[in-house]
Amino acid sequence: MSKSFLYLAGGIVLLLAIAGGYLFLSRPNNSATTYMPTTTQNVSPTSVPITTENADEALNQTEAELETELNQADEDIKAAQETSAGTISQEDLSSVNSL
Amino acid sequence: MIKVLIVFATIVFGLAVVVKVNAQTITPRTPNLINRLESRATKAAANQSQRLERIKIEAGRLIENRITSLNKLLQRVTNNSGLSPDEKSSLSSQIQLTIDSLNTLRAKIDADTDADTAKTDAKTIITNYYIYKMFIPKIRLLLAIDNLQALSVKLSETSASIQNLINTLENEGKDTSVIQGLLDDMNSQLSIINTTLANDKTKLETLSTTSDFQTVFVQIRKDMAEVRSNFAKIRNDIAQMRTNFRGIRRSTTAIPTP
Repeated sequence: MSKSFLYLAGGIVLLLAIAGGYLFLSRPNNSATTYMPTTTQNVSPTSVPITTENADEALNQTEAELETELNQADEDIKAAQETSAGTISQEDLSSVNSL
Repeated sequence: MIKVLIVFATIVFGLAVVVKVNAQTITPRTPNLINRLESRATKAAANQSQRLERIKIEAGRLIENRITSLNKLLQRVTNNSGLSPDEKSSLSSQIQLTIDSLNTLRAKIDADTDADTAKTDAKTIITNYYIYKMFIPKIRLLLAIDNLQALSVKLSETSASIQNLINTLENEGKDTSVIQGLLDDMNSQLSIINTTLANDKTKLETLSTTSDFQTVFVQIRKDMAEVRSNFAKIRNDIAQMRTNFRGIRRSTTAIPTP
């Protein structure tokens, strides 16, 4: 009877230790768990509401972003055209045909 | 009669002598001929083997060049920050599938034992895949379209935010008619852009090596030039809206003259 009681008490203590450990480690900004990857979300300028005060800056940023994306698209379109118009395929086919 | 028999016997004798002489002359030459034929066969087999090897080396070079170009493209897709995970996955899997297929073809050519078969297989590196003529340009254009679609979504969000500000200013009794006109134009341009990009994306996604891909590429390049012009108008609208918002801000913060 006393042995069973000891086992039960030991089990409860173990459970409390586990629960306490979990709560301790999961507290915010715990330095012991800083190795864990944290997910950061990029805040897009467009996700911030535009107001009279920030309109100039927000729209300026939008213009800059627009310019960057258009330049990138231009690069891809140009690369597509150059690759398609290139003569590598004909040269390779002639090379195989000559063998 | 006897004369005829003598003539006949002479002819038969003559023929027998000729055959015998010929047989004697040919017999000693036969081993040389066989040797020569054997030598020629060995040489031909060696030539075929060398030719097969050359085809395999050349095919390996062509496949390697294509895989290198495809891996660069894969890197370009992976590093693109503007694409959604689904778009990245779709483009990456298309590229990876082509790389795997080229590797399978390389293994087949390496295992070929006949030069003509190897040559036919080597030609398919170019004629079945069209890596440079069709595949890479198709993915580059899809990449451009996906990025422009993402840009369009961001601009739509900006447009909604500007509309909220216009509503607020209207409630404050400000004249927002000019800004509203500019915003309407921006939305109209976005609508045209979205339709064009969606149509072009469908055209590219259904493109195969049997399609008239050069005609499709020409059309898409033309569309992209128009889309660029639409985005330029949006940029102009935004620049004008900035000026107007600056004016409203100045009028709001201006100290009234006594």
